Amino acid sequence: MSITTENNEKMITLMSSDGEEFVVEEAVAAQSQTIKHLIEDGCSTEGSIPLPNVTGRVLSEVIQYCKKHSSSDDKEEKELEAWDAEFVKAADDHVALTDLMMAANFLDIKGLLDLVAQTLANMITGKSPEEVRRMWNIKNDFTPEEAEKVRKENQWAFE
Amino acid sequence: MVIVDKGSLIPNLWKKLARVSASGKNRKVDLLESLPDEIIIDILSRLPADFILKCRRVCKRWRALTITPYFAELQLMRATPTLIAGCYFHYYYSSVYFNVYDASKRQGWSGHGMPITTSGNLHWMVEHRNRLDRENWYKKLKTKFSDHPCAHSILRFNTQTESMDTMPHPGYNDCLGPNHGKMQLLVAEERLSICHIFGGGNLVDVWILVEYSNWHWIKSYKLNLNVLKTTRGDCLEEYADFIWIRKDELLLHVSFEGLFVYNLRQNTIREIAAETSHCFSFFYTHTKSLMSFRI
Repeated sequence: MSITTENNEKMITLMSSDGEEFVVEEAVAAQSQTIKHLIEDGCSTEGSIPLPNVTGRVLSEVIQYCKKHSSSDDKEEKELEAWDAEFVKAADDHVALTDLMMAANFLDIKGLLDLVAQTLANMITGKSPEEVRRMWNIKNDFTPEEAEKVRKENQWAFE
Repeated sequence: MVIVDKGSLIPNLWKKLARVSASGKNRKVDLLESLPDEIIIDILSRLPADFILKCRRVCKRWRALTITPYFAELQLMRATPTLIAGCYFHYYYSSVYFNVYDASKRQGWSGHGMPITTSGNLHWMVEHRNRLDRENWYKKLKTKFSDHPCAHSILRFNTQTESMDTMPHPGYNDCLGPNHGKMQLLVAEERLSICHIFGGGNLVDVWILVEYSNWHWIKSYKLNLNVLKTTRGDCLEEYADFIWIRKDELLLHVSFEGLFVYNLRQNTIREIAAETSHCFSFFYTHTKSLMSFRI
């Protein structure tokens, strides 16, 4: 479904996996390369664009990011950086960040993908393998012999 | 920090999101398994090389993803050089400056002299050699920072995390800025130390950083270089270089005069090498030791 506002902005409707609908300006939604291609292919004229991989709560976050980044120009780079920092800080949970990362990956929003991936990388930096496992709830699937082998193969550097 | 109105919505949304995540504990269990390889590669390729080696020990999948040539290439492409250092000779005092650039923070610094290495960090005084430099340096820092410029007078490079920051010199709160005389970094008994010659005089305060983590300095010695009785008049500020302090002895160099050892307990000085027509410009130390060289 395609609506036009008083400002002559073309609006499109995005539908999340759990059926929530979001009406946004086309310019905002087109920050996502995936959506941009769908619009170009004429998928938006027949109704709302379904996004089967993204839940409503994650999609609302993604839209906040896209709105901010489509309304700012280059002059506001510093302010935008501060906004980005606050945006990921507010998440401070790597589970929420991982959801956001999956959505950014599926929707192909490069800026958001970079931002979240870098934030997650910063969370890992400085942690021991054991701490990383705890953070991500990863099972250590090395046998003691294998673990020793991997430890040894990396021993030459930085230790 | 400037956040526009729209932004204030976000913290609330995140709180909601966090509640939902917390209620579904099982989600956490399959969190990683559900992540596609490309996302894990994207995150891990942003890490410094030494942490990637640690990550290989996390689980088999992470090891498999990070040992490919593709991964190595991606990591190299992404890795930001943290430090680019150039040095040149100052035309007048024949001293060395390091221009240090932190590419990840987009910050540049100019440090004076060879770096002083203690506690796994490299240290420089920020442009500090002569009076003119000091005044320029002070003006620059004043425009850059809102707090006291002397809170940023020591440049520090952490060799472990490859990050840079600036630290205050001792007694910076009462510091009068560019007229505070010359401060020079050196190593005193394996600790970071500062020799501070007061502007215009020959009195030197020796500060020692006794607790590195709290950045706690103690004024340990006071000395009077008038005992040198040099031909440089009564101001050694621009001519004296402090090299090290070991076993209560300070090794110092005075341009056009020579090398001296100052006994800090007895306040006596003795000459160990005189200069003739050329000044010594560099001092390197060599110690025979069982330890290999490490920073």
